[in-house]
Amino acid sequence: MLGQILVNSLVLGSIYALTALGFSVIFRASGVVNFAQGEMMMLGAMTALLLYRDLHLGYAPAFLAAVAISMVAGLVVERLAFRPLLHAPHFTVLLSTVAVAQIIRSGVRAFYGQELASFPAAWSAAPIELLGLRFTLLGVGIVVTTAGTLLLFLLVFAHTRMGWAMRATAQNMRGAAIVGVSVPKVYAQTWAIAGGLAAVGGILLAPLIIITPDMGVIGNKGFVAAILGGFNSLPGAVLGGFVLAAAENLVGVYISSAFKDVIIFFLLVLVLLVQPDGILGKKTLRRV
Amino acid sequence: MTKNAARSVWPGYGRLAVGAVAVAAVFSVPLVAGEYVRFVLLMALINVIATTGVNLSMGYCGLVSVGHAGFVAIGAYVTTLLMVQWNVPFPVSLAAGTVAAGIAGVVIGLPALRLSPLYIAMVTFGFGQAVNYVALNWIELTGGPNGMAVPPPTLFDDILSNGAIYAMTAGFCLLTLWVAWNIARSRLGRAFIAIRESEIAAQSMGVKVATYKTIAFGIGALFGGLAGGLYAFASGYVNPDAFVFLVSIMYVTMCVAGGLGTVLGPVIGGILLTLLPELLRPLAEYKEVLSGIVLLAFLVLMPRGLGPLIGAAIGRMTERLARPAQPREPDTA
Repeated sequence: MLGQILVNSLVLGSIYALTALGFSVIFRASGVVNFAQGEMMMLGAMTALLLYRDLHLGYAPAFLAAVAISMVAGLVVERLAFRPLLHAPHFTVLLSTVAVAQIIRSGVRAFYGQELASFPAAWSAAPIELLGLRFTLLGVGIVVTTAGTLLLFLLVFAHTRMGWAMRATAQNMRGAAIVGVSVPKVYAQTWAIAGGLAAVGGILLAPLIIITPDMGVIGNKGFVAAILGGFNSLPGAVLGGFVLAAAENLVGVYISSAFKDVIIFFLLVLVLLVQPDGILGKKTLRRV
Repeated sequence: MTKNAARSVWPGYGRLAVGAVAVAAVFSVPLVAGEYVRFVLLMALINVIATTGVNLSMGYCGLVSVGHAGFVAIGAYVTTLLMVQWNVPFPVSLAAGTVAAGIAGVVIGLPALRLSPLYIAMVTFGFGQAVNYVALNWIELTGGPNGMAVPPPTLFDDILSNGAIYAMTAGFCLLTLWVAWNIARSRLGRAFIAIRESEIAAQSMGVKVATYKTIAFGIGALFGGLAGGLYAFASGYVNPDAFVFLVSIMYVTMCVAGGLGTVLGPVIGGILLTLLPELLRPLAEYKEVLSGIVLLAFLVLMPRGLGPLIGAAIGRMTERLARPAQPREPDTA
């Protein structure tokens, strides 16, 4: 039973982890919580659906094209809603991401209508018994794709000039600018990457649920996962995704599935009280 | 200097006149307008009350609240439940709902005090979500997603007319603004602003940061609860959909669009952003996209909100109402 719960959590956790990572990447680089992250996931899934179902592209080309389009969408959002507000009060930037979320959600709704679409799965959802646990090819596919995406992200982040520039900017924006890093370029890259991560998460999530323009609420879970793991830590965000999924499933099975989300919230407050910067978050010190 | 001279010649009469005209308009518009316009205005007034609460904790004290709809929900549900389950008279229910929300605010404020601003945002976010989940899932008490019908408020065996509910809400709205205006100018408001500007500096000047933060949260929640109770009377029906995360964000948006940390900001933001979707209604399915675009344009073009701009336009007389409340610089000259 416990083993099965953990296996299931791995699948759900993958999606949470990708979403949380999207939140964290933007937050670390620019200090902004992007409330449009969930909507960017939805946009990715909807784009993939359009390419796959209506334009009859293969699954893999549709997947890659949707991710690319979402990265461009991330760039557009950065240019329209973030860059003009670089020197604006913090709340204003936060709200501009909320406005973007509304534009994306209602834009897609105006285009598609409040249509409930199911996303065809690339892999079979038929259960396979192995070592007394039930797996599905779909679940394995989701976990493997997530692992691949995370690995790619890690490689880019740790071993390319772009990744170094992003890390330098996150550490010290001014210092990075002085040694020749183009900070605006880093912001643009960050938003593009977050858009790509969102699309991967959205497309992987899509076969598990019915997709609607409102599926972006899943972004809230990614937000909680990022808090749990430590908003300013990228490994923390990924870990937070899996921890949140495991906690949700455990509470759902052993305590109460109706009050799962309430209990999770109290656990979250508890974690924050004991460890205010999340599980892996670095302590934020401020000079007076 | 001329400013002060003008003020001594006209000691606040201009301001008073503008205020009186505004109040008269609020009370008289529904007399000439139809039922629909009255309902929209009613919602605008309720939003102004809730947003004033957000403004107190966020605009003045710097405590981000992205879960204020939770307090509004507590106000609405407690008020309704008391009326439905125990036939409590509506003024008592409204008071109880308001106080319950205030207590929730203090309780939420206590753990939040240990945390940095970002985490306060997260705790309030989680709180808003939790309240919504409870309302959705405690079906025996709250009716779950179907919500509850609110019994019509009665006074001396007479059911209050829609006009009476409107007048009552307008009265509470004015009261809220009066309280907020006085808090902003008092020791309390100055303490809030000191904490917002620099917690450490405030602490070293002897401001009890923890106490004042709790108070700011408590009062903000109190106003939220009041708005919730009034909402229940106005709509005659409460369900969890009315208190989702987006509603919390809408309050914050109203605050920022109107001008954070100004008494007039929530009034301007609250009324404008309640009317905007109604004005865009003829555009049907493009309504929401457009209101999102308008909001984004607002934020990008006027990052500090409309309040200060409109305040300046009305003229020097009203300037003080709309100016971000900051410790005044001593007059030199």
